[in-house]
Amino acid sequence: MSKLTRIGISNVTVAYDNNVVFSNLSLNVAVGEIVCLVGASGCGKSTLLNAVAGLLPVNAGSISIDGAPIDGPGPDRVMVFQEDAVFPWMRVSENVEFGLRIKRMNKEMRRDRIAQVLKMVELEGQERAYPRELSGGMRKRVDLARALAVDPEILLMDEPYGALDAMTKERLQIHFLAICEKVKLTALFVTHDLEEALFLGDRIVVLGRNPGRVAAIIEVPFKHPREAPVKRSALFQQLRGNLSDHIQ
Amino acid sequence: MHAAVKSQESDRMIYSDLGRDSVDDLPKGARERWAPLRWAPLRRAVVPVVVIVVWAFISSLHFIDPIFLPSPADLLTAFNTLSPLLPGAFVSSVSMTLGGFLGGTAFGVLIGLVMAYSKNFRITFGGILDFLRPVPVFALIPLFVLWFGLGKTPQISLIILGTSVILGLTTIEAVKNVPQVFVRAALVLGANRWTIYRSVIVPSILPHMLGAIRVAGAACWGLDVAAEYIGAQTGLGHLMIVREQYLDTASIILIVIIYSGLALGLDFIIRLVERPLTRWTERSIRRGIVASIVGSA
Repeated sequence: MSKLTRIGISNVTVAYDNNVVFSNLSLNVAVGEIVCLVGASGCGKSTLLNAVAGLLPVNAGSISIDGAPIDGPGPDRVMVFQEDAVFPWMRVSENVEFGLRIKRMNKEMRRDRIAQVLKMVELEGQERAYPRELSGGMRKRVDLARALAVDPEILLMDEPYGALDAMTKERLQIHFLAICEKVKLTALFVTHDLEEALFLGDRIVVLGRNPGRVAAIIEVPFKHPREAPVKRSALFQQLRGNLSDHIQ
Repeated sequence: MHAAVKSQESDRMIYSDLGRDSVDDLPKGARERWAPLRWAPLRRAVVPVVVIVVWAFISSLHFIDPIFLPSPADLLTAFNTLSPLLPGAFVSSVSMTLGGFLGGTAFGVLIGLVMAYSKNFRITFGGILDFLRPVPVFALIPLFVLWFGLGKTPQISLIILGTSVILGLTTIEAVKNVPQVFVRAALVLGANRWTIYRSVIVPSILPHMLGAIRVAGAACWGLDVAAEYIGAQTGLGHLMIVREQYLDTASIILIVIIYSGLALGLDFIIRLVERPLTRWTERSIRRGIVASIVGSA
């Protein structure tokens, strides 16, 4: 079964000033695959994600999407950041339609798309609210809605659910899987939550540090569609333990 | 009374060990007797009233020459004498100053944004702008009068220049301080440089600019006075200089008061306009413990 490579990371080195974050890192992400990046702090997970987004230049090697090398950031690879990136001076609907206005979508279609996408993140009815009025978790969901609105082929997620409570997190994880399945999204998902990595990922890439490199790649055996109870299965917990060992 | 109740509530919300009022140290019965004196509007009126009373008293003693300290009654006389001249002078000064303020603000912000936006512009013009910026604006008055002649042109040019220097610098700094994540988020959504400036940078720097706009709003009246001293034929500042030649201190003080009122008025309008534009920030919270510490309450 040959899978087309969507994201090709080939012998990439990224360095800040004189600090080499990682060197000669290679990784291929197939079309429709969800790859979770895990590892101890400082191993370069976010740096790698920023490089794929086109926000950081690479010092050596190349990153390509569908075979073509990337040339700066773009709405084909939207990133959802760890920090609060929702624009506080815009209402929820204005935030969500930001990318749609850039694409010159007309008002009618924008309105429908906003409603559709807010429903996906369980924020129906919040169009007129300002971010200041929402909780941190709700703002994160607006961020995700904004990313989904432009219908990207790739989603780059940088620990997006870190600030959410367990119930909301689980609901959004299930939604995320459903969205990725429906739209055939390819995703690179950085997380420090090992259960989240196992629940969402088709493969898990463990990054090591000193030097930054791929320490291990683990295939996740659970079939789709995945449901919450799988987290309680013995196999799940065992894999979680193994993963934890890999990270030490 | 409604306002009095509200201010008492917010007083109570300030935890006692963060802002002790001396009244709190009194025993409970005494505290209740003194409570009406804590009413905020009363406290605000105390200093101005005391100043006026002391002033009236000192002038009634007649041991200071009225040329140095006219009495409150002298001010009223001066007002009556000047009133035919005031409307014309008022309109002249106000139109010049407001025109210069608005023009200078717009120009300064524009230059600041262009400097931030375009590397080419920065490299080409940055050097000369850095060189011209520290020149004391007041020192340019005689030069402007020589170039533009007496009248309105040097006056308004000066106000525009002085205001744009303040606003330009603040704009450049404000743009540099925009949180990086906002720019990155806009980039990954496909925004180009122009869209980022228009939709992300300009709205996000508005709260930061407020302080500079208020400072410029206060400074422009000073610029107006200075310009009028030297180059003008009409206006309040010009009137001041004329009355000075008659040693008419009362009129001078009166005009100073008018200028203060104008500066206060402009400041009030600025704050009024700013409120809907910065409703989205955290600073508009005006209650609670954080507000009491940072001075918003």
